[in-house]
Amino acid sequence: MKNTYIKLAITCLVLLVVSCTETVDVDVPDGGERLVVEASILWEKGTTGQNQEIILSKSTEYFANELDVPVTGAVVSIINNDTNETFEFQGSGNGTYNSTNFNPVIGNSYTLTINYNGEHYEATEIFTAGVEISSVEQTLESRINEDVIVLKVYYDDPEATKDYYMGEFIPSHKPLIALESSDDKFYNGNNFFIRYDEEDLASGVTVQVKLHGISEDFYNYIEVLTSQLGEDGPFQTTPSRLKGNCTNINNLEEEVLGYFRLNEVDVENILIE
Amino acid sequence: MIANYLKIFRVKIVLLLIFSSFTMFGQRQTISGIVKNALNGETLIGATVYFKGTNIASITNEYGFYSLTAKEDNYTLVVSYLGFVNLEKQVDLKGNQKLNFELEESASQLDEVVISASDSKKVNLRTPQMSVSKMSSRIIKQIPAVMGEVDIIKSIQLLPGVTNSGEGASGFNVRGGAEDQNLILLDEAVIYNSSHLFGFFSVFNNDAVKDIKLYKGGIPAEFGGRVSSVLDIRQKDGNSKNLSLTGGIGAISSRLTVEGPTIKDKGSFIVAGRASYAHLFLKLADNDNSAGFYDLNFKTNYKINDNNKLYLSGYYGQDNFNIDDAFKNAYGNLTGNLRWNHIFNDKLFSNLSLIYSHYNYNMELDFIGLDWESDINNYNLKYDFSYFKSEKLKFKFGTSLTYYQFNPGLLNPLTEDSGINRIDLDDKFAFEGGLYTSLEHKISDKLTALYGMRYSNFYRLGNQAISNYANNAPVVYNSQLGIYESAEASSETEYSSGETISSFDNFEPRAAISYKLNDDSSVKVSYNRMAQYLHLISNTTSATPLDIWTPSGEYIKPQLADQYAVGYFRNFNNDNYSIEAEAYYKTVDNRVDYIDGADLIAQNNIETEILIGESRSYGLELLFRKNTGKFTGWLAYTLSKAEQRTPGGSIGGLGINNGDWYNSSYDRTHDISFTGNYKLNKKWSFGANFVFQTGRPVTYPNGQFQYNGLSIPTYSERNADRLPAYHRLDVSATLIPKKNNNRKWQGEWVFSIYNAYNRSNAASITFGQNEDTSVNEATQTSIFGIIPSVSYNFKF
Repeated sequence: MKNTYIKLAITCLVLLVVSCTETVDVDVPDGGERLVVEASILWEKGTTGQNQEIILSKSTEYFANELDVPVTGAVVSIINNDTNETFEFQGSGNGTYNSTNFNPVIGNSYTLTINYNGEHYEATEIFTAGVEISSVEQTLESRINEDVIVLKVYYDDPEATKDYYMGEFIPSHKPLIALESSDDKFYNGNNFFIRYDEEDLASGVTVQVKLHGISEDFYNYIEVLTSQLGEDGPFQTTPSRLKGNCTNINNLEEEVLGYFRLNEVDVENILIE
Repeated sequence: MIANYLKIFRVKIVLLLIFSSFTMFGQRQTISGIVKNALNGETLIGATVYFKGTNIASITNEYGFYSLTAKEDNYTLVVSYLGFVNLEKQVDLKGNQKLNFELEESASQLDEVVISASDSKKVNLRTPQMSVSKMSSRIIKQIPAVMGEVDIIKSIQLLPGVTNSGEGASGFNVRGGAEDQNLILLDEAVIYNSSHLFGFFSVFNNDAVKDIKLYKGGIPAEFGGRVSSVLDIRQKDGNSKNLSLTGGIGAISSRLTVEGPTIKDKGSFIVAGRASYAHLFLKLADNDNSAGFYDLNFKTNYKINDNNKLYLSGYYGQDNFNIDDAFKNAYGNLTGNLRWNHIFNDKLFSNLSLIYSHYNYNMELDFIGLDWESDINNYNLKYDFSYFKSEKLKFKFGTSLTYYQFNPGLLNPLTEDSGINRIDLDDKFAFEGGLYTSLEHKISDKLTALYGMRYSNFYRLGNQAISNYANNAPVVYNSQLGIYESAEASSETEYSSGETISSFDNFEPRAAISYKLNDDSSVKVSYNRMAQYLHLISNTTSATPLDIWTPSGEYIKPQLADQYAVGYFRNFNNDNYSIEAEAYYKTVDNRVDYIDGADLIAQNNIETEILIGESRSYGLELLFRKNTGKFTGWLAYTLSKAEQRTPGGSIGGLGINNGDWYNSSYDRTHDISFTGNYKLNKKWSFGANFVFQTGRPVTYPNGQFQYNGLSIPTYSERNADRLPAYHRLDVSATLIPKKNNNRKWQGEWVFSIYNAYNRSNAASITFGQNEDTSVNEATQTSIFGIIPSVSYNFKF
């Protein structure tokens, strides 16, 4: 949320004055291969949440030809620290690890364990509750030279707690998923929204909307992540190292990318009219 | 608090009396007065008044006042000012005298175009003041500017040691200092934001400005409150001879200035207005967008008698943006200054100022239903004295009291059905006091010293609640994840209105020595300590107007700078040329840095998002000037380094960027600027600028990883990479039509081309996935390409 204001305001300004943007060739440094943990344990409202997938991969150079380098042969499990239930995740040889008997409990603490190449990685996180999408509104907003379709995904924010959200928008007409995070600082206890704001959204496109209730830590992570996706132009926040919650127990210095999170999610498919 | 303050004031006065007790032998007399421009009656700041064949000299102060003391004798008094014809007068120095002078501009008789620099440069060698750049509005007018919009801040960036973060970035950087470390004064009033249109233009209307001084180092004791530089801008007093009208029509804005006498020989006024066109940059006119700015300068003065003069001056400027009613934004400065010049006697000059500064920033974001208002008010009382004790001793002393009110933000729902809650961020209050004394002491013909001391204090005052944190640490280190996190407040302490929350005080010594090697050259060394009690909270690569000023307090300590500089100065070839070479080393303590992912927007507890670090910078500056002749101009080169570091300290962890030194985003290894003006004949003159700078330090990704279907860049060391070098050439031609000769209406056409070879200078390079192919790419944003423009200026 915090960056959203700046981004939108600044984007407007940059639109006003920028004379040109062009794609350029840049020599970038190579920080070497690092382990990437994409452990997003999501419990869609109305399902059992038993089927879960974790993806392990390696990072690459920024302009590498092959960006996806799967990690196979790891031993992956999650333990519920409150109940001591353990869930094994079976590798399928393409970097994905699956469990079919996961038992999600809101508010419980879980620890992810990965054994790979003789190293032992761990991450601990609380299962976070989410709220339901109360409505989705499609509006037309005018921009400098055109009208833009905007989706507003509304939800009721609980007043008693500090809450954090992430909107995930998967459009049918282009490959890029949009992530938008928000905290309730400005709208605690109210019905509020997350915006999906893509210039080329057009009639006939479907957008899968996922509203995640997320933890404060993951919110901080995703804020840094989205702010570094390269949209802010000259008023960019100074980029910084994106530190997730997975660590090598024997070597805290090792940079492990990605995040282990568990949260509730509400999903809706929206057809743009 | 006030009692404490007065106590120190008394100590100062005693000190001063001790200093003053160096009595002089022999019968000495004083001659004093005001130096003015004969054409319009404007007082001249920095004119040299001296006795020919001696080393006895005085430089006119901000009000044109000088005072010279010497033994009874016959002298030839010379008054000189660059660009003006020297004035000589035989003086039989018997008894104290008052002599006012009016100098003729040499430009008005430029038939042969030979401006004699005469002796005016020589004195500069002797004064210990170094690291100061003077610019007159006349010089600034000759410099080609973007869209022909004459710009003071852009012009000073052509000087050595001054850069900025690029086109479209607010402010400027001096000797590796941050944007918020410059004290920007317009007629003594603090300007909190010097930018129009988010940095494309500056808020100063050159037509209303008389004199500009930029102190980069060796900052005199009368200034305090910012650690890197002082930009001292003085408005014109207004033509006291004739009613005159000047103006211009440019590509961006139009200007009109009216000035003239009010009561004959008693006073004058000036009103200058400037407004941009409403649809700047916006290609379509049939929509509701608007973006623009305007500003208004005003000044009037009234001479009560020879020893008392009153001035009233003000500035008001605003920027307004409206993007389809979805984003509305307004910001600007308002200042006012009432001054009383009083000459106690021919040696003691005083000025009392009552100053008000206001800065507001408002925004309406319709797309989320938010209305945001913030502002700063400050009230400042200043009393400054210059005491021209003798030919060897010149004192300055004075005091300054400032009261601040900060409203960092009042957030309201824009409409009734908006889901936004009303949030009122804590208002902050503070008091800043300053007391100073300085002495310029001519020890021998060759050696002159300047000793100064400023005592400053700062009280953060209630009414406010201050959060308390466990172990007094608003930021904690999470050693498991290796990140810094905001701590939760454990309790709050309420402070009532006027109650002191925290207080600071600092002694800020200033010292400089000049040693004349011979008639044409000198060396100077200087040291200054500066304290800064206000901080601009900004986490973006270049400053934006959304950044908020915050006062020092419980968790943010005042910034403290120490700067050492040494320089060599030489005039040669009959003073047609001059060389200035300076080296400096500057350190700043308590420089605020931001934890990764800091949440600064509408943040009531800024302390939970920052760590305290330090910065240092050093460099070598060379300035080669040609002062006279058909061709004038300068070549400046700066070799420098600016770094900062923020260790974890008692909080734990290595700190930001592992606690290592990293390049500040205003670090420029090489910075070359060339500015030239060639006066071909009475009709045509030409100007050119060339600028070359090492690219701005940035952080490039050192890899990517796949996450949630996206390619996420990874970053490590801060500012370890650089944008491509920045360079551009600007040219201009000024045409003064012949028919001007015999009429009152004087017109002038200025044709200019900014970025003549259309260099795409990178304002930023961002990394992301292509929208359609999702392939990773680097995108460069450039702001100004080649921009030709025409403006018409007139005088009536």
